[in-house]
Amino acid sequence: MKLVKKTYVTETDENLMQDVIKGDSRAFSEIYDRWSRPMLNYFYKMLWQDREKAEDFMQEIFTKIIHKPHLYNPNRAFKTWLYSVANNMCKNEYRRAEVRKGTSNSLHDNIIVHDSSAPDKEHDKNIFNDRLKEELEKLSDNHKKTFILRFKHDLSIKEIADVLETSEGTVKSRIFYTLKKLSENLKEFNPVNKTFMIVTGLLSILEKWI
Amino acid sequence: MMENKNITKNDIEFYLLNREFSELTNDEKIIVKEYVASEQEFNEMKAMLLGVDVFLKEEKELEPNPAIKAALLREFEQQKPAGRYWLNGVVISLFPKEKKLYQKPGIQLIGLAASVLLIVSIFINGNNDLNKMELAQNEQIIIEEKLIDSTVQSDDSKKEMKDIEKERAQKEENVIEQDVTVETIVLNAASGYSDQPNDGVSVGDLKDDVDAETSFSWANDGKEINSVEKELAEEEESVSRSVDNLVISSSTEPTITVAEEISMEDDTGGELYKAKTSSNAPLVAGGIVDLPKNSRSLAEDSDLIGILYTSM
Repeated sequence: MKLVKKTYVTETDENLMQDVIKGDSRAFSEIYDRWSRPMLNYFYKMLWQDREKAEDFMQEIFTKIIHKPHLYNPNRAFKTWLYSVANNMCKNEYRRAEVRKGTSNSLHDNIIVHDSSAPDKEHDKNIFNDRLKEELEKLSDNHKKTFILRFKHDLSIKEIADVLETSEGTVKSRIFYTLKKLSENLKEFNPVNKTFMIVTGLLSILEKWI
Repeated sequence: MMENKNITKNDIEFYLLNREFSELTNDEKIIVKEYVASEQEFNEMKAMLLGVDVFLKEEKELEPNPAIKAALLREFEQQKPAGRYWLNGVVISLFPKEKKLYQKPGIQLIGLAASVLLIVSIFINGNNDLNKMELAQNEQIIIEEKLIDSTVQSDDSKKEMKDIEKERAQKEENVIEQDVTVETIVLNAASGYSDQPNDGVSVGDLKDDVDAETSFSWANDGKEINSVEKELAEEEESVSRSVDNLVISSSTEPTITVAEEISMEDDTGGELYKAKTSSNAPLVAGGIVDLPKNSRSLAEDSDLIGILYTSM
């Protein structure tokens, strides 16, 4: 009999997974509490901002943990393992979508499914945000994943490389390429360019006055 | 400013988010120039990164449906992974991949078990060998002794039995030969009387005497046979006794060693008839017979000799 109650909150993900393998439902509950939201939002971002689909996928990934916990490699960080599983699920969904739509593009070409209760309604008011969303959706699968994992889920270059099973150099170049592409496509919203435009406009007005 | 613990000084984002282009050192400029060609491009990317960062961080995140958690927990309880996958946990804990081979608890346990088994097996085998050796020696000695005894006994008993049977056969033959000898002597004596009439005794008288003698001797012979049979019975008894004590029989003296001579002197011519009883030796012409050592003693046949003597 344990005299001290086990504190699941302070346990690492890896230790919790060991307990999940042993059948500890509280460990599973703690894992769920930690990772259900990131997974839901990851799927939401990656699967055309479809909330229902994102919830289905989030439930599916935890069902996999329940039924096949032995698939988890304890030598690997749980975080990267979980994102790699999610990444593979997204890939499969892209393939299914290709078959359904009959298109070669894994992304839904500029099709953004907006949830009726989507929390980003407020952001829709912001034009920049809308355009940014559009530009992100236009990105290729790998560039989008890399960008989301880097700036939305705060994964390191190494972790992203592990999740996407690629080299760190590739991840870096993908991030840089995405930033450059977005800055080019959203040039009109660039504050540097805005300032430049404002400054040049003011200068032309002053010239007229003078 | 973006607070991302995963952004290091090796990443371009670090300089885009934390530095102005004019603030960059020469070394930092070398790193940045790998990605950015000019200061303007640096500033454009910096502005975009800040805008994206703000957008992504301010973006409201979806909250998972609590019903999903309840359903998953129900599924987890139904699944009972502890019963199904406990071996997986055992294997993982016994053979963790991150540890070296000799550091794995499973390998250590196997090694310990193997060494214990080895020691136990050596101990058991050692004891068995010692015991077996001792037992084998003792058994060998006992078996050898038994074999010697049994062979000696069997040899002795066989010898004894053979000797006894031989002696018995000899006795029987001797008895028969004695009878034949006596009959021959009687017949010779009778023929002598007929060839050389003496003392005015008529042939008819002699024949009557001979008839009387033969009838008498046959009667006496019957007595003798009975006595011989008695002796044989006694000998058999002694043999059976000796058979019971066969172990010492090899060293005992022969039970029957009789060698007697039968000598008869003719009352008329003083002619000596030396008759020796022998089981195998035939009667020699001239009345001398070789008697074996096992022949009857004179004392034993004194009665018969006396009768014969008187009859003649």
